[in-house]
Amino acid sequence: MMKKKLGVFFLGVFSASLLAACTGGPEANPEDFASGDENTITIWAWDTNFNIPIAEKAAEYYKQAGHEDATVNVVEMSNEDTKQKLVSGFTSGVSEGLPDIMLMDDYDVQNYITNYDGKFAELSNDIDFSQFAEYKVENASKDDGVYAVPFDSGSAGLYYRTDYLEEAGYTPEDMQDLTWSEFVEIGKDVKEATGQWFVAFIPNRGTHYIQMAMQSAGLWYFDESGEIYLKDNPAVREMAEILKAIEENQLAKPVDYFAPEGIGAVTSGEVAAVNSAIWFSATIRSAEDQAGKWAYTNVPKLETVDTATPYSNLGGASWVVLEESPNKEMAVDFLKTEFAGNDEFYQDILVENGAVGTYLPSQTGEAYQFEDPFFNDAPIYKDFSEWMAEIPGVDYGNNTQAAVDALRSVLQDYFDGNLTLDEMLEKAEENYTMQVGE
Amino acid sequence: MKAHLKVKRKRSQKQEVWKFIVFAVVLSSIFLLYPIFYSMYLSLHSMQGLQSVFVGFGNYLRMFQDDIFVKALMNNFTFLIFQVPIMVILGLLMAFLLNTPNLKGRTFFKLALFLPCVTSLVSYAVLFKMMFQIGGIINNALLNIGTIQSPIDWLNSPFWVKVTVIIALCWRWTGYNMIFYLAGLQNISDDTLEAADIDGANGFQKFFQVVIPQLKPVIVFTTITSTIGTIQLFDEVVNLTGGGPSNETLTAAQLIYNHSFIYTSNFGYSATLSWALVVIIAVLSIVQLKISNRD
Repeated sequence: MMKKKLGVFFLGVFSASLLAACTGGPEANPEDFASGDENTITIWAWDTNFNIPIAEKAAEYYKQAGHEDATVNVVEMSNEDTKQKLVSGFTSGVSEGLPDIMLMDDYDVQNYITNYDGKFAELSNDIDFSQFAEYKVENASKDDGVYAVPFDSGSAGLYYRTDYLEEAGYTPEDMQDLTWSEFVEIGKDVKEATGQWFVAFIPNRGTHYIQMAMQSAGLWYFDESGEIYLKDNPAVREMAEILKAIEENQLAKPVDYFAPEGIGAVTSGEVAAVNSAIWFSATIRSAEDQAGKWAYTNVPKLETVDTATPYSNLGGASWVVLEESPNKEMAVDFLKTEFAGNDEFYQDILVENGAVGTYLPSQTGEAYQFEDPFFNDAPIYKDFSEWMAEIPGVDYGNNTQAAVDALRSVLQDYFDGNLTLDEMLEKAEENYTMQVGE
Repeated sequence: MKAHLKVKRKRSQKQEVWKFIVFAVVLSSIFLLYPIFYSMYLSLHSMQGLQSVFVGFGNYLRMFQDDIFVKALMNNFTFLIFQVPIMVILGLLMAFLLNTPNLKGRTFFKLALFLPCVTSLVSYAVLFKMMFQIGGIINNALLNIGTIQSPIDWLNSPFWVKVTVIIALCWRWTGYNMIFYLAGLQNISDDTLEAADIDGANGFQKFFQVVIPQLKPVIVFTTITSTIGTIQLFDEVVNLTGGGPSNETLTAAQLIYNHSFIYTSNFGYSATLSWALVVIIAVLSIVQLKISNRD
């Protein structure tokens, strides 16, 4: 009797683990990476609402432009996974199992093209890079070569809910030309008047706020000689205080801003404001019931930095071609034809996907004049792309991720009063040095 | 003549034996020994992507001055000290209860308690992350029954985040250890328990003085495997907290991953840190075995 029951139990466990095995691990699919077939290219990218449909649309255009036999295989993979697979492939010296084209976060581009010399195709002979926004090209350049085709803009702005702000006594005019401390004051009023969260992100991981502020003043985590630059960086100092104020007044719903919880907080109407890039407008627009309730303006400005502007960048990505790709020529031709030459394609993804490219000739197109009913007929693409031209260029260097982690590892202690501002930034610099091992 | 034959037979027997093991030896050399030696070789180099420089014991010296690694190890030990005992005691209790003779629905309970172990590490971590959000189900439940006045920020407070990780680990692994105890309990002869009954022992006395001593080998085994598991903790923290806030849940394994894949791909330093973990795990396992063999 006992034995039989145990048998039933293990049968149950086994079938459950089989089920888990089926749904759990990702299966290696031979179509997920570059093949020897000379008419097929494979692209890795992330974000099924943005990059994936855009890459698929580019593939359609490419086929229509006289490449009927071409197969473009777009594979969805998280940003982390693409990097992990790339690093594993490169360091083990294996060139199989990788794609022909890959999307790469702009913050990572310098790190990869410097540390994996010779692994990415040099593109300046095939593509005219003078047609792209300068700051993107600079980020993709090493020595005299250019190693990535700039894609979308991270031109940043402040999105806000007009209804919540009105409840707190603010008109759209009041929202113009804010400084960061004014932004926090408004947040307090909104929270008091409406009971809503003001923004949604985890303050101790709020490095994207610091990055937006730094770039708006032409600064970054590193000084001109590439040394870590936190303690004496006026933008970091001012923003640390801003983040502390946001944390202390509980203005931010503490959820990861780019995870489903953070996006959900915005689309379900829980927050009154978002500082983010133009690519975030697609997410805001997906909350159809909030049409007409959103407006946008420039990002807040730093007060303590002379070079401060209200123009900045958040995220944005570029396409790289792998040097050892079996179909490198076709891959380059694909990028050249669509991402560096097809105005119609850019107009299409602008209207359909809210993608503001950094390919300058496309920005004179009609679609850029589009007055978006969701944002009360404001010409959102025209505004953000005009701001794009003003964004100060900065060198993201090789170690942005290490600097991000170094800061995130100390912010909560600063918020809690365990460290002063100076102590915190000193410790962050020490952590950074340990992480990069200099 | 006879002796000569014997030698010959012995030699051919030896050759037969070699044929059987050569396959295993070759495979384990390629997939086990080579990586081990290669990681030692790596640990003597400092790398950045494809660039590699020989630094001798530089990585080891760097490791001893690396406060972040020390912090990560301390986090590992915090999880170890709290989570392993809680889990072992809970697992023992559950196994003991499930083993009571006239329990209805035993198979159902066993299955229910064991099911967490077959869920994927990533999916349960993601679920826990949702449940422990500031507006998540756990906070709402606690608010509704009046245990707390305002929601706890489980994932962003340096203290509560550790509690959350420990709760998650217990949920996932208690059932797994319970199965070992159940198997152990079934090997305990009823005679000993009956004898204890006759001697007038109550439930507690039976549990602590009859059952536990006989389960000792199983308990030692599960303690060692759980210790190793906790020191190598990775999936849960990466998906639940990302190591934050303030590196409060950063584990050594995640730091190794960060050095390999998030920062500038210094596999040399990663290999060094991995070797440190190997030594720590070996020492801990030996200590546990020694303690359990003492009496």
